[in-house]
Amino acid sequence: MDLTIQTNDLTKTIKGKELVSGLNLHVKKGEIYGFLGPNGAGKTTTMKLLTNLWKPDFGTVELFGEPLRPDSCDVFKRMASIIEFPVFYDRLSGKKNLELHCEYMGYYSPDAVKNALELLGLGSAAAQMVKKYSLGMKQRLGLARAILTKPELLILDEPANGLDPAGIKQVRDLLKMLSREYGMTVLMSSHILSEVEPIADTIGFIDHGKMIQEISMADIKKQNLNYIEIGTSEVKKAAYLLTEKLHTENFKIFDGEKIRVYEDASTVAELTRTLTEGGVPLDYIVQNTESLEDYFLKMTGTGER
Amino acid sequence: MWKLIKLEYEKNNTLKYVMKTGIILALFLLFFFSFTFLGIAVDADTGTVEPDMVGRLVMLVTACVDLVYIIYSASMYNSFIIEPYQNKSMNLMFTYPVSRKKLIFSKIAAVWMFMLVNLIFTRAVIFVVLKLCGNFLTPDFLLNYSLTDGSFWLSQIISSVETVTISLLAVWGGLVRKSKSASVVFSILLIVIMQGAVGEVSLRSQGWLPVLLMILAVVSITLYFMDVEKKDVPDF
Repeated sequence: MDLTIQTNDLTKTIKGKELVSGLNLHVKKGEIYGFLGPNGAGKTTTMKLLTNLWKPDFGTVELFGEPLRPDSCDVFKRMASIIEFPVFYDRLSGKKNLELHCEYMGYYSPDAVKNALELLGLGSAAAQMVKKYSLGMKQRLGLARAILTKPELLILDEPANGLDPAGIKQVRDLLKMLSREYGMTVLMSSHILSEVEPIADTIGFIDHGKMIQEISMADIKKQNLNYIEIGTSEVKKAAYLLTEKLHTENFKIFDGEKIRVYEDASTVAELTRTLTEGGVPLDYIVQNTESLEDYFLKMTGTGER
Repeated sequence: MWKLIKLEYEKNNTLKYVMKTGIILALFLLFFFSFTFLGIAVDADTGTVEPDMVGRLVMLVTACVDLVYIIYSASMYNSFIIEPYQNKSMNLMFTYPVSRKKLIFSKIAAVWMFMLVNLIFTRAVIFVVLKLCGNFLTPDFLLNYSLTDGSFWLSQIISSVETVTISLLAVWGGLVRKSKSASVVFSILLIVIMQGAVGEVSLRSQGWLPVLLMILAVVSITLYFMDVEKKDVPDF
């Protein structure tokens, strides 16, 4: 298995707080890896460790099969990144910013800047100073800069940030195209789980600095997709009835007013009858298919029990 | 390395610093022209000038230009070095396939070279213009310094190198305090030290002081960036 990124027991502590602990990350060559986690989970910290902006206290990072050393810099010719937010020289134009990027990367291609700007819909704004760009335009310019030199690896921290729905779709399609046609490996973090779902090959869930799970999208889709959702004001009573009458343990309570039953053997009719006979008022009861967001909520324990 | 320095000039809109140099030079010319030709140096009571006024002029030009350029250098170092840490563009720089030490050195070298050239140019233009004006106007005192005196220009160049190098101490102070204001405060402290006097003896005239400050500046900056490859990019 060809890994573009591999971390071993990666740990980073700042002011006594473990931001990342024993993290083992595996990103295969050519895949799109969705790096998911709630705010403060350690996603940006991990990305800073992968790009050598921060140095690990323990553990190692391997990029393209080679260990990342504190003084490594040649490896950056093969990768591009947006960490936290894209930074520019505001008094220079978008085009000039990208030309500077080419100079520093040692990349010379006559139309690369023009093509990258047009691909991200910034052709007409190329000559404008970046300080006049909107947030969405800056995000697009950051992406244009990231893909400009056709890197083998893209590390993107919330790439859809600031983009409108059309922009989000454009970025999603672009990343998919880059991965499929150019074999680019993409590691992207996102809170917009529904945007990661259509394009990611593998998902890594991180919480409190620890990798909860790495799983392929194919495996997620195979696992506990179906559930029955019950809306009721008396969740405790409903939970008691599920346990005592139906001997069902495989359920979770969400937001104190809905229950999801993952038991394959349960049917809507059976649940309705049991709860109604038990005096539980039902707001609704419906069969659903679990999305990546649901899986994520389960992983991070946001669903109560 | 020269390519990196050129890129620094491109990114940081060096033209505005050239214009600032022009304005500084114009103001100095106005002041020293007035000093030399418009009676500022003449004692109002006696109607005469002090002996060795030209020596005083040279000292005044050196001191005033140094004073302004120490603060000016600190301001330019702020834009080239401290501000990139503050606005995170240094993070971008450190993800390029160029050694961090080279990047930092190119920034320092870009400012150092620019300031040195401009400082020497400013002093040279002041002395040349005053001397040329002396051919058409009557100065209040004899302008008997020679424009062809190699030792005169050598001392000006050496003094300029001292000033521009010493100003690195100001940027070191700003880096340690993670603040652009701190580097300006440090530059003012440097001025106080350089222009200070013990009785009648000025500290600046003591040859050891500028040398000591230069060494301190180079050592401080070197120590600060010595392990830049191995450390986290600091949060400013």
